[in-house]
Amino acid sequence: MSYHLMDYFAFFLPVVLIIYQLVPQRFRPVALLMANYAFFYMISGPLVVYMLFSTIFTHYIGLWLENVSLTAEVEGKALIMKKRKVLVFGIAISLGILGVLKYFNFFGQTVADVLALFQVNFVYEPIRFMVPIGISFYTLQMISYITDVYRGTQKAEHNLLKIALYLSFFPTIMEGPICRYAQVGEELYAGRSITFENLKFGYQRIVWGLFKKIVIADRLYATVSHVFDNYRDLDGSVIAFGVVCYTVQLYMEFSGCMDIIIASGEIFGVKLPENFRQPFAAKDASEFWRRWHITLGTFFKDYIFYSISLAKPVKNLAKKVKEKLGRNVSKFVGPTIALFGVWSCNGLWHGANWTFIFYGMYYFVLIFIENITEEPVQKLAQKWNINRESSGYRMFQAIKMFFIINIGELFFRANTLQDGFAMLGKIVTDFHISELLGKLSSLKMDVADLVVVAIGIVVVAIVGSLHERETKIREEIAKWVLPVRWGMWYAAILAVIMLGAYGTGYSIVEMIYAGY
Amino acid sequence: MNELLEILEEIQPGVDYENCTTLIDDHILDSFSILSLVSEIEDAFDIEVLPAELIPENFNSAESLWNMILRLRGEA
Repeated sequence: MSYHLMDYFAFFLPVVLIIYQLVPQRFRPVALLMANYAFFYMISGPLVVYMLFSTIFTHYIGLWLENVSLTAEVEGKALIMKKRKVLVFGIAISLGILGVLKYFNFFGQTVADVLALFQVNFVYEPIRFMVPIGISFYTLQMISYITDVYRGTQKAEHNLLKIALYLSFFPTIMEGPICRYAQVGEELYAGRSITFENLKFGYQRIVWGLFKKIVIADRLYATVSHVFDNYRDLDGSVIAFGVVCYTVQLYMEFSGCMDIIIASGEIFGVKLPENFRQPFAAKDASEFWRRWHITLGTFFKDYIFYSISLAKPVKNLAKKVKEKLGRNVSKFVGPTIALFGVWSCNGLWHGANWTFIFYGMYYFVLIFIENITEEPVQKLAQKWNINRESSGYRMFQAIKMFFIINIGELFFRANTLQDGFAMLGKIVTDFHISELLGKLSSLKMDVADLVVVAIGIVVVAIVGSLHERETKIREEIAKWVLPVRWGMWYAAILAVIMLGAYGTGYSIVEMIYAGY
Repeated sequence: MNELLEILEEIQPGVDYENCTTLIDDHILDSFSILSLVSEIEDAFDIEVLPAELIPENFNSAESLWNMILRLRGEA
């Protein structure tokens, strides 16, 4: 079961919607919960017990934190310390389960590798863990809820059913978005009737998501796999082409699935947070991460960046630096330490692999450089009369971001870190554009594929630029006269059916982020 | 309040702090500026700002910032 397959949007989702609509409103939350657990069970089988435990545990920690606040005979810092112990326990258990299932083998092997450097013979035998679907996503939701209750920005929820719905909502379980309880908790429990408006707009967005996923992303899958698995035999220009294809594939696939997910929520009357906002329009790396996988970025900002920056030892260090080196230097101390924490976590969150850790460090270094050079660049621009809003400067930023994003994705997708460096090396030192033009046919891609992908990218770019201008496209289309409107939607559905990369000659491409 | 406006002006000059109510929503103050601001107001007003306070409602305008400072000083 995956969101882009018929099993989901043509069978599971409609069946759940019909049952949900038929049962009385007060039973709808229970019906939705049963659908959530059925969905989870269809993918992860008996591992559904992890979800069950996580739900009860999260609920319990919330109540415990509330109880500490209500019954404590102390206040002020002593109360905070008492609550902090509960918070640390809650986060430790949540992260502990994730850590063992996802990272135990990685750390075991790393220990063996380090010991080998000291001539210590230690062979690590990997343990095969069964990992439940979506654990990386729902664990972050557990942590956000527990932390919000600790901070007092969220009341502890007494109703276990509400917490269960929040952690297991089936459209979000595989790929997020990472929601906050305050955003969706009450809407999930409301059991609102499905309106024709929501159903219509929801399925329209599902078609759009399928277009991005099946027509564009999946068409690039074979080429990308071929290039990343056989780069040693390929010219740098071909590798560069494969890397760009991967960036397009990842964006179309992840944002396309996100369209299907958010649309599914919309049909139930649940407004899920957006995860993408035209990331390729970003002017710098910081902005890129405010537009790409937004809910992961805001999670790290709210729960790691600020927590580390405002931690006592970090503040004290910043004060000492301020006394010795002045404010211009000290202002970078806290944020830089926090940034390092954020990007270490970001890399590790994507998986137990050095490529992901490098990917995190890559963005840490880039954003650090952006932060410390912002003021000097601004002064230089003023001195040299460079208009940073001019189209020329914007073009320079777009080219810079093209390289930054693609180099990052190269390491993100590379099979190993060594492969990533070798691929980058070949792009820099062995680049002959004539090789690319002559080899297109051997890249598991024909002219028709190229044309479809190119047109698809143009369509997505036009829609993106309309979104950037805050145009509500579906609402605008709804105002068109009926024949044109229906003609447009039939064309969209036909485009997915006729141009989709499925059937003979194509294999089903699993969702990339469902593996994280 | 004047002291707060001076701090804001020092951290991010050229903003109409007396009237702007979207300092966070419009990304006028980014994460770095917020942390510099927190450090300055902690020293200037002898308060401790916890992560829970770092929400747009507290940082979107000079007035909301001032209200947070008064609250943390126990004057509101």
